Amino acid sequence: MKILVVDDEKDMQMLFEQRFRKEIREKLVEFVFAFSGEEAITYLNGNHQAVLILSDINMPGMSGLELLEQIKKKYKTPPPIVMMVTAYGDKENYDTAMRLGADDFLTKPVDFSLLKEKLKIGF
Amino acid sequence: MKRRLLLLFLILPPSFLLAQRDPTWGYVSRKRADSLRAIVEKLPNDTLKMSAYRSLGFYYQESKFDSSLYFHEKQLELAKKLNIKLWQSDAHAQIGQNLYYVGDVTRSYESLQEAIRLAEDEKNESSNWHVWIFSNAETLHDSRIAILAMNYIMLGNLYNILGESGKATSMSEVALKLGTTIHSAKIISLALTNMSQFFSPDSALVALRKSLEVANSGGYRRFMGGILTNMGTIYYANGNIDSAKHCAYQAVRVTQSQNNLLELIYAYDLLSFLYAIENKMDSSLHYASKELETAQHSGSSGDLLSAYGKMSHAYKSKNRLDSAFKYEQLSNFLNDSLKNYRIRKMSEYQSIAFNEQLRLKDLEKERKDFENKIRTNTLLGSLFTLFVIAGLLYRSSRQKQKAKQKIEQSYDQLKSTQAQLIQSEKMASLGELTAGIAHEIQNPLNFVNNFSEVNSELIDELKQEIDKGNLEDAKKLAGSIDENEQKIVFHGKRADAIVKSMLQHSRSSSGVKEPTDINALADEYLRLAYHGLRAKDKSFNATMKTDFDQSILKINVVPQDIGRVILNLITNAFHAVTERRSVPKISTDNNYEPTVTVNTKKSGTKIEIMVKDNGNGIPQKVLDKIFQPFFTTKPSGQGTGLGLSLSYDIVKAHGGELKVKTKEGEGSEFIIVLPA
Repeated sequence: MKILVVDDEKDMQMLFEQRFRKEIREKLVEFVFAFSGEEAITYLNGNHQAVLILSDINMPGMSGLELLEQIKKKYKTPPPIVMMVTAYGDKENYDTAMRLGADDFLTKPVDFSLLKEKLKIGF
Repeated sequence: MKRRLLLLFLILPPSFLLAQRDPTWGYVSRKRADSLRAIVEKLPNDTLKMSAYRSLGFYYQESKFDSSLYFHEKQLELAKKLNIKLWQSDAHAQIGQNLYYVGDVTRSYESLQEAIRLAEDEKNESSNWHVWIFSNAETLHDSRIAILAMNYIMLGNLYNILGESGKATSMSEVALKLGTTIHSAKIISLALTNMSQFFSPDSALVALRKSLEVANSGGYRRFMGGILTNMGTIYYANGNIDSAKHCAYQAVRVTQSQNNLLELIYAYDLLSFLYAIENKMDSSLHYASKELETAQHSGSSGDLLSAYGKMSHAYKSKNRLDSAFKYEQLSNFLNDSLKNYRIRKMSEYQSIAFNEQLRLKDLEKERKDFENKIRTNTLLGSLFTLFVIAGLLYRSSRQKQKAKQKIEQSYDQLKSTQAQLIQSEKMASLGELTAGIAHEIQNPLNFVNNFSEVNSELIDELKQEIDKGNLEDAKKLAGSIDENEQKIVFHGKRADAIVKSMLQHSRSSSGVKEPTDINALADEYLRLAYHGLRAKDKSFNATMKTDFDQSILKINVVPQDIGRVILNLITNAFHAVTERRSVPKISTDNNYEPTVTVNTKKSGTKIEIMVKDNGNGIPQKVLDKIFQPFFTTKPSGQGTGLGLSLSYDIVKAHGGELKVKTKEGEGSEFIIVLPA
């Protein structure tokens, strides 16, 4: 399973690699990282496929919500699963994300055991 | 002619004919009083008349207060007519003294204050006549000080009557100090007598004996009765009734010979009291009726009341209840009316004393102001013009003083309003920040939490590998743990710095300059502003560009203050680009890319911080108003209109400049110039 993680925090890469080190070692998941919405679009346009996209919301430049909107519009078949990961767990953000078609919504600090649960059950 | 000479002789006897030269202590004989009374209205000139009225006032001072009051008022009238300031002061003081004897503390207080005011003014030294009347020393200065000291003594007496013993003592202390500077045994003795009542009985006796000695040796006998009565009271308090009686008898003798009814009443009062203590009721009654008789004569209600009380007590002890009842009724009746009168007078006095304080403060201010003006003008011209100018200045300074007070008042109000506004401006910008800060804190927290969880897992694995003896893998794991640990520390510090900067922002500026990394400060506030706005407005977006001149060393600024300026400019820039995007004015705006640029640059001895936006720019017609306080283009309630104004003030206070470049339709650039 290929997962694209979009976040302007560069340390997210190391964190995900550490947190999923067993799964990565056992080749259960593969991670790709993009550090802005624009970078994520470039990656997706380059015909690279990702089953799951985890995106931050607050990023300089293109925001996570804009990215979500574009992905859901552009990639219809099969639509990748987009999960928002944000420090802003407020209702307004949540509602907007859901309206734009987000599949799930997690808040920072990320609860990785919960994230793993969701990955196992959902996907 | 012969008649005239005789008159002069009566009023102004050469000093060798006077027992003492100073009638303040003097005793005006009945004979002299009668002659004066007969001729005073016919006296040929006003100064003589004034002096005669004063002597008459003195004659009645301890026997008939209303007559004394009348003559001293006449003295005042003439002193005013002749414009002799120190005689006015003296008259005010004597009037004040008589007024408190009759219980009108309010007017007494006012009168004594006026007396002090007149005697305090050095300029009034030259406005005197026959200085030796007031002092043994023959200088104008000593004469004025003697009058001033006497005034303080009388004010002390008033405070004493009012029960304000603290003030009474300090007035006596002032008088004592003044008396010492002019070596006046009389004033020293008087001040000591007055102060003695607040001493311990032993010290009081010492002080009173000293007063008595001075009075005897100097021939100043006027207050001897009072001193003796006081001594008697102290002897009684020490349990020595015989000595007490001895003093009281002496006091009676002295005061009778002086026709000093006031002190005589006190002496009789003490005697009546002492006999009552010894249970010799006949003698007690005898002196009580003498007291009553004298009090009826002098017209002092307070003394009358005391006499009624003594009579009633004596009759009661003698079991003559109807007489006792009669005096008790009289006493009650007088007491009630006196009480009402006193309550009314006391409350009048309270408010006047308060107003007096205020007035004195104003006067002091006015005086200083005036003196400064005079000093400046001495340089300017001749003595004559100086006088004219000083006169004019005095008038205008009075007016200015009033205007100044008003202005100061409004200024104070303005300042407190401004402080409130600055605080609300700060809170408003803090509000913009909080959301951003929450976000900024969750991110480092995310790493701290997760990396430490990972580390505890890794440590378990590490143990297992060591148990297996798999040292190569163990080393790798230890390396990862170390790396994670560094991340934890880094993000922990990051969170700490964010919280600190928030606290710094909300706290009142310390006002202390410290070496500050301007680039880091600008970067920090750029991030905070951006996230703050993103938190509020999800649709908000803008490209941020920075170009920091790394050659800038730390410069000395108040970081919270300069941080606020930067934050304010960046927030404004973000608002400008958002506005342009939401209300496109120009057709080419389809490809509009909102951009905010923050640059720093070192040029010579200056540091520049530039905050640039590509918004709509500032219209020329409002450009010169943007730094004015309260000017805002935002809808009411949304901006305080203080942001730029405060920023401007802060930069100015750092010895810098806040400049703006703008072009309508292209954007604005604000430049903070600070000394490096």
